[in-house]
Amino acid sequence: MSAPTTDASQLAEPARTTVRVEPVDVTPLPRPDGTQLRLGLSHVLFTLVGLIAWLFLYVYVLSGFSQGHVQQQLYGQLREQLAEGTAPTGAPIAAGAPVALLDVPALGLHHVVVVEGTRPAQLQDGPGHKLGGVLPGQAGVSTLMGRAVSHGAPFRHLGSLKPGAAITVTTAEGTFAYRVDDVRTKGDPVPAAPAAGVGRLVLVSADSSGWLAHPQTVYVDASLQGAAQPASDVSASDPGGAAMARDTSAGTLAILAIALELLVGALVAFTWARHRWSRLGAWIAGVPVLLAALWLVSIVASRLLPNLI
Amino acid sequence: MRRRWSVLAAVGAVLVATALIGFALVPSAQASDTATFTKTVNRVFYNADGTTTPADPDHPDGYHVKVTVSATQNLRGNQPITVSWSGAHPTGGIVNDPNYGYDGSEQEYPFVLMECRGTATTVRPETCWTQTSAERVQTAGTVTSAPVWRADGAAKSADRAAQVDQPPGNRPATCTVQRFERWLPLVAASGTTYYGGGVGCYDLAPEGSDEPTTGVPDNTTYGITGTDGKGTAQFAVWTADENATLGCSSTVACSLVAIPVTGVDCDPDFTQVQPGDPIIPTAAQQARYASTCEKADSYQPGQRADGSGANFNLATSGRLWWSASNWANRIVVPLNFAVSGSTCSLVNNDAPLLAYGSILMTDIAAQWQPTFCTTSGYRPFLHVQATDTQARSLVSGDNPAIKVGLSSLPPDDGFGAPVAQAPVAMTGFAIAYNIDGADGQPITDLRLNARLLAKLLTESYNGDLQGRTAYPTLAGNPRTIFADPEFHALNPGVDTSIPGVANAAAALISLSSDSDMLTALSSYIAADPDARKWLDGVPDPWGMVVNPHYQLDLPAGQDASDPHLSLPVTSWPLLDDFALDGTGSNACVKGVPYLAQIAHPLSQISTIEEDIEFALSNSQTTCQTITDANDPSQLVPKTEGQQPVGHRFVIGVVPLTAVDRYGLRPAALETSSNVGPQTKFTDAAGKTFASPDTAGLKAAVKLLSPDTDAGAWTFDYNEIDSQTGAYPGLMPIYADVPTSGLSSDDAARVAQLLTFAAGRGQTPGTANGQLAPGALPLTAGNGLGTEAAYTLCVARQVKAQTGVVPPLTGTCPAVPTKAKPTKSASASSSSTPSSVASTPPAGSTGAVVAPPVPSAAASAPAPTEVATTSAAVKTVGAYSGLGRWGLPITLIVGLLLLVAGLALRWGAEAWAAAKVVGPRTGPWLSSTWARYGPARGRRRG
Repeated sequence: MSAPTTDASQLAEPARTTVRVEPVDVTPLPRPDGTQLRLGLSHVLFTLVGLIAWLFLYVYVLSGFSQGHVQQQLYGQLREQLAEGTAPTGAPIAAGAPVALLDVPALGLHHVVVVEGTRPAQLQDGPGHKLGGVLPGQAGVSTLMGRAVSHGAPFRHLGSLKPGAAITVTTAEGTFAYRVDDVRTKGDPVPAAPAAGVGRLVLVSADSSGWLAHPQTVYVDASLQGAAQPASDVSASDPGGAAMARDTSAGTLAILAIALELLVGALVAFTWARHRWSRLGAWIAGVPVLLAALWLVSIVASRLLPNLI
Repeated sequence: MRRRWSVLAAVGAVLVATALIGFALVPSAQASDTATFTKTVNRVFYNADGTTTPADPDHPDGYHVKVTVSATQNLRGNQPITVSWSGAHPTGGIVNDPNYGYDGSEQEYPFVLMECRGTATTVRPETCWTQTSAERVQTAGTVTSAPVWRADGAAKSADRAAQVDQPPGNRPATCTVQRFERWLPLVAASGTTYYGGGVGCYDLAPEGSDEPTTGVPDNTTYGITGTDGKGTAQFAVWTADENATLGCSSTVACSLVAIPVTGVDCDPDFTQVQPGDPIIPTAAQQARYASTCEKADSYQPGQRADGSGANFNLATSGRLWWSASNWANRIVVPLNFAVSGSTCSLVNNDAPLLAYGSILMTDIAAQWQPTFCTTSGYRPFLHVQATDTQARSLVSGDNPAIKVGLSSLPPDDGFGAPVAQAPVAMTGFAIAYNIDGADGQPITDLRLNARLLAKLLTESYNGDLQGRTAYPTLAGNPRTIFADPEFHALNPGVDTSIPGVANAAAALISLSSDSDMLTALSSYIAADPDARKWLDGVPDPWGMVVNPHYQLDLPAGQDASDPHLSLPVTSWPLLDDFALDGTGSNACVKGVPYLAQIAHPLSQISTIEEDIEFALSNSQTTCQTITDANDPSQLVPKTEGQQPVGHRFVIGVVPLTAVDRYGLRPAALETSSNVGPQTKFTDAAGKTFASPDTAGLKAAVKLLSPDTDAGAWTFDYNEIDSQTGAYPGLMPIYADVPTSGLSSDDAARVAQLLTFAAGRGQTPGTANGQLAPGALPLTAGNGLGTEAAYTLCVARQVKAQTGVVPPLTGTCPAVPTKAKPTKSASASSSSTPSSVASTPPAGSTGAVVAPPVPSAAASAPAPTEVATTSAAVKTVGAYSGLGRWGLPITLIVGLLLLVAGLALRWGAEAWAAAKVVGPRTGPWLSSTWARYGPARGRRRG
């Protein structure tokens, strides 16, 4: 903005007193203009909008890439273990270790690797085997949980499975064929516990029928066709892996805080480089770093979301 | 330029705020239990001109102290927490008992640990607990004395006056007013102020005493820092139950305050006081202050005190822990106490369901009870300690006196009424010890066999009889287990010298009342061939014989009708009758069976736990004068009391859950031996031992087998050697519950307790509602799926009260349907009664059905819901509010922010543009902007 006509340098001049006779402009000075504040605020809002857009992009698209990448690694690992016969057959199994291959043609799932545990972090890698139950293929109830929205959403259309649909699970003990009995949601009757020596598979995910909102869970019961393997040792059930559980443990929050600090650090470095170094260089060198930091923050932060979403 | 910075500032602010939120969330999440704190402490001397000089030229920057505390969450009364520190000034003038404040505070540079009421910001010396007057009051009478606390340059001027914080009101005539007095009152949780001051002055707090305690020692610890700057101490935290003056609880915040005493910051010239203040002494006096405060230490680091109690440097001692100089160096560790069962009477008017019996249940019930009275839908229960035999008999018969009995064994002759025994916990007994080795450090690995336990229990060691008088019967026997070659053969690392307190090593501290714990212990001894043979009267390979009073093969001449031992026992009998003639210091034990005084079994399990935790010798063999030392009738026997650190030897039998709860160490017990009973051995070769850890208990579970006639699982002591690593002390706890004769209200409460015990209560942990460490969860993974399923089955039978005692294995009998069937079951729902999803069929793996069906089926208020077992259970599903609202709200917020941002950024320009072209091309847009556009947009010109 242009400066007002009453200049401070004139006021400071002590030498002579100038007597003015012409008319003097006595209109009050304009108040400081709010443009800077307005623009700054708009930038803050755009940043927040950008973050929210990133959130949606990450949840619906980018997290799927993460899972795809992890799945590929896990598949190689499990294939080797299956070939060697070293894949797990009973507790204890390390959390996150691959335990089975899941095929559900009706859902378009082919050779999806099931990992041990159903905490949010484990379900980021793929469908998880719930602790406290037997492994698939064994006598008793085995529960697999998977995401319906983010991280590739392997169980997105779980609710659309029809009775009789085929599910195939491969573990170290063999390949097991299941037939879907029914789909149930809140209020539907729970089938009776399987008789001794009978295997059942329960798939759990969030109900994805709503648009954006996924408050409820959906269950699919499937019966093992043919003989079940004897039940092995079962690990203690894990409250942190319950349906819709979120991971707000101190460890996760601490990692999140560190990841955020990393992101802030990367931003500061980027801005500094843009001002003091080279504009183009800063963009070339900084953007990958910023993206990596943002991605890391997203991975950790998404563990705060319910594990079935 | 400016715009870029504003972008940066905006992005940065958002991210920093997010990070801060993340940090803020961390403490509210479950924090790690171990906590570490650091602080740099320094002592300075004030020069005459007010500048400072470091007191220790070798450490001009001070000492970098680091403190680690083993546990700060879910604390319970008398729980020991391990405090270790490094980087502190080494302690000098070391005393035997750092917990007795009078002596301990005379040490130079102690590492003071005390429990104080308040948080890091509110804690003050007045709310810190100390036992004796000397730790709080400093007085001096003569004009020439120059009390060190007056020279404290860190203190406020008012606290350096001649008399500070004197008790208000008239002083007792016996409490002389001194020239210099510094009082530090103790403010109780109730608000009462205790001044103390020693004999003739004011009262100490009820828990305080100027004498050394004989029972549980004080928890204020004047910790000893080694010459390497490191130290460690066990600090037993107190709740309001242990110390009402301190009053710590889950609602009254308390802290552990650690003060690395470095000494008073001497200001003998009173430079830190406003010049002209009347409290400033004369120049001649000031010289005296320099000599008392800046005095050299009396002891070298690591040197022991000379015992005079006078020759220590007050300025660096623990006595002045409260001085501003030392107090400023405090490290405050917040303590978080678990809600204790005593809360129940406050929060809940519901009279609790009383469960009588097993002492093994004490620590488990202590964690379950608060959940029952603070969780909606649950109704409180209270565990009342009673002997197991009493619990079994009270629950027997057609009109049982109690609703729930807790015991570990089936009754000998049945209950005479339908009473089911439902396992609620799997735990056991431990032989816990507190023994120091040759280096004065605690021994952490101890192995015992059944014969050694038999020796301790049968009064077969001489104790201090040897040396006082001859007892011909035991002439060839060692004095204590410490002198027994068999003990050293099994524990080669243990020092061979006899500790100071001999009698404590001659007996096992045991219970005087009936207990299934003693039955289990004696069953283990009876099943061991070596122990059995020795008890039969055959000397062990080293020639030690059983006390003939306990011989199982009755010695010649003894009538079978005389008192004698027959295993197993429900309480250990005291059979030896040898008494001292009782002269002099023995007068109090005249005519009393002396070995029984050494054994001195206790009636309270908590006393045994305290004895071992605090190394209190339990032998009641010292004579205490009540009033007149010359009157023999005034002498009473008392326990030997606390043993000096470095020379401890206490051993006793406790519940397994007490091991973690009180920080005890459990011995490994022998499970098999291929060394013959008469072969001398020098090491543990050929023998196997099992520890009471999870692996040991899991292996022992395989020795439990269902006894259909008794209606309970029994432990096969004769097969211990067949199961590698099986801990012989495993004991189940059964809830003995009648399945007929209870009112429907009581039945529902008992069923709720059983349902909780079989499910939710089996998550291991130290928080309320979890299963106390030392108990093995009843899960299929631990081989206890059948037991858990049986307890759920019993819960349903209790609820129904049809008089059915279900079989231990197999399907759970149907409970008659009392209500009309609810909506028809789904096709896959079979009609077998075992099909309730929350009740896995007995014998199966006990796998849990996925959907979280209300596991507390019996807790449902309407009896019909429990009774209709053939009706289908409905899927409950999980609901996530975040899942419901998270993404939509985020999207809406995002869109709103976008609109707002656009309006802010381009709104003015757009409006201005509209204004210019408005009348011609955009009347609607223009008028809309005029009405709804941002205020800035309406600015004229």
